[in-house]
Amino acid sequence: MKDKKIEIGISEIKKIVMTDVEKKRIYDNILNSPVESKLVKSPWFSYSFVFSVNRSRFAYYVIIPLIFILSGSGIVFASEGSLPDSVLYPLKVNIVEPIEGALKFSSKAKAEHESSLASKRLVEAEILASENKLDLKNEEKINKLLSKHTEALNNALSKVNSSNLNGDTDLITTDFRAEMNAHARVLDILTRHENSNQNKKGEDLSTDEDLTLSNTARISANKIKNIQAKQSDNKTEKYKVKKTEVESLIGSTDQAVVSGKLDNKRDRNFVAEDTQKTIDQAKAFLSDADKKDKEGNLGDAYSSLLDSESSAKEAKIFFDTSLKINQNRRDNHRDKPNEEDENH
Amino acid sequence: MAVSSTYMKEDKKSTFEAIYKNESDAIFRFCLLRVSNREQAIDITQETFLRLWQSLQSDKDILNSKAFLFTIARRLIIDWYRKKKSLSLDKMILDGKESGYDIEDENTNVDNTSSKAEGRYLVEKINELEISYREPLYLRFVEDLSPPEIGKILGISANAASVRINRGISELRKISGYSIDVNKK
Repeated sequence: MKDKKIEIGISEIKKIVMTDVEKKRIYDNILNSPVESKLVKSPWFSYSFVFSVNRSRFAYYVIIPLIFILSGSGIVFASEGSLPDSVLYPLKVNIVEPIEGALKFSSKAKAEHESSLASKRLVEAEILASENKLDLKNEEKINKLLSKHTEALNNALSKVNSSNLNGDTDLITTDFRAEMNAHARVLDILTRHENSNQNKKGEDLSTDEDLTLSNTARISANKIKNIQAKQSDNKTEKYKVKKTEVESLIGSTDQAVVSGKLDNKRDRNFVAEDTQKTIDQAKAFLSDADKKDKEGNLGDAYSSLLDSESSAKEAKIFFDTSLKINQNRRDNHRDKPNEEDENH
Repeated sequence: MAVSSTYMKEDKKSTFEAIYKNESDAIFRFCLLRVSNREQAIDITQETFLRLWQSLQSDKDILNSKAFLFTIARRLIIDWYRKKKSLSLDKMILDGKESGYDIEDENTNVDNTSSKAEGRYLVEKINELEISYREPLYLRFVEDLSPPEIGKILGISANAASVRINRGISELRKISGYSIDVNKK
């Protein structure tokens, strides 16, 4: 009888038991176990990550998004210094910067933001140009962005003017003009330097392509200057204060040119001469402003004064940037002396 | 307060004692048939009851002590196998070199040779089954656990446990030649 057999088998298995001695030993071991009833917890356990997650499932809803935010912010931080040839650059210009702009609530703050972005684009172009990486593709990319920033700046300044907020747009416009013109000139020098190096190697490149970006910068500066001219009629009361500021700025830039150290003789002559020309231009605008002031035309006088200020700033930016580039070249020359010697 | 604490401690001790008395053999048997080493089975049994004792001490709710003990024992056995992969019970049984346990010991009181043979044969046949059927079948027929309890131990639903038991019976019927009636059991 097979059923009987399985019952016997089961009853047989059930007879597998511990001896009384074994049972007693286990029982005593457990009750005399040195391990106390509760595990010893670390005094810091209540501050731990595990504790907070165990205590409340809500922690998942906080911690997981937090991890995403932190890792995301790492990428954002990394994209901050990216250049147009980097994979992170689209993230920077299409997401990070527009979000920063969206967080600027006043038109004036938006204008300042756009102005700084436009300058940043030109600085990026300068870095690429100094590394011989400013190809047509990158230049077009920067060009488009620069036009976009100028347009946005234009709109923001128009809003400030239309709202009659007495918004001090003068500072923004003069800074923007100075930045655009100065960087345009630096780019001219860099692309010229690059072309001369390439021409020495027997290649022929059209200079029109290299000047596109600097031209866009100059056009942008003029566009903003026109806005300034329209809105500078009622600024006469600030004339005297502004005049002192401009005079001081011209003086300090003049001094900087005298004491500035440029290694390369050709660069020293060229940059110093160019800076001096701009300072002279600033001085000319200043005397023109004085003349108009004496004639009683304070509106025009103030406008000339702003031109003077813009030129003085342009000279300063141009000179400082040239010094920086000179320093970078000096460092590169130290790193790759043979290569530099070939170029010169 | 101290009296209350002592009382509670004594209460836990008596609870533990009762559970230990009722379940220690079943847990030991379960361990022995899996690890095939008496000393090792005793160690795992001790560890299993130690966990129960610690849980009682820390006032954890244990609704079904039997299911709790089998769950712990099963996990400890899995850990033991992971640590000692070279010792394969299945291989030993299939090779037939060593059964790993001896039904005939001082407590089994077996005096019938054919009965010993039936017990060994049944264990061997259960161990020949697919791994997913072995435990449900063993827990159902030898330890008399219900499908919900088996499901709880194995971490599956009661329905899944029932299915595994039925399929295990069919398999066992094929390989052993036993005529097993589930309902009767």
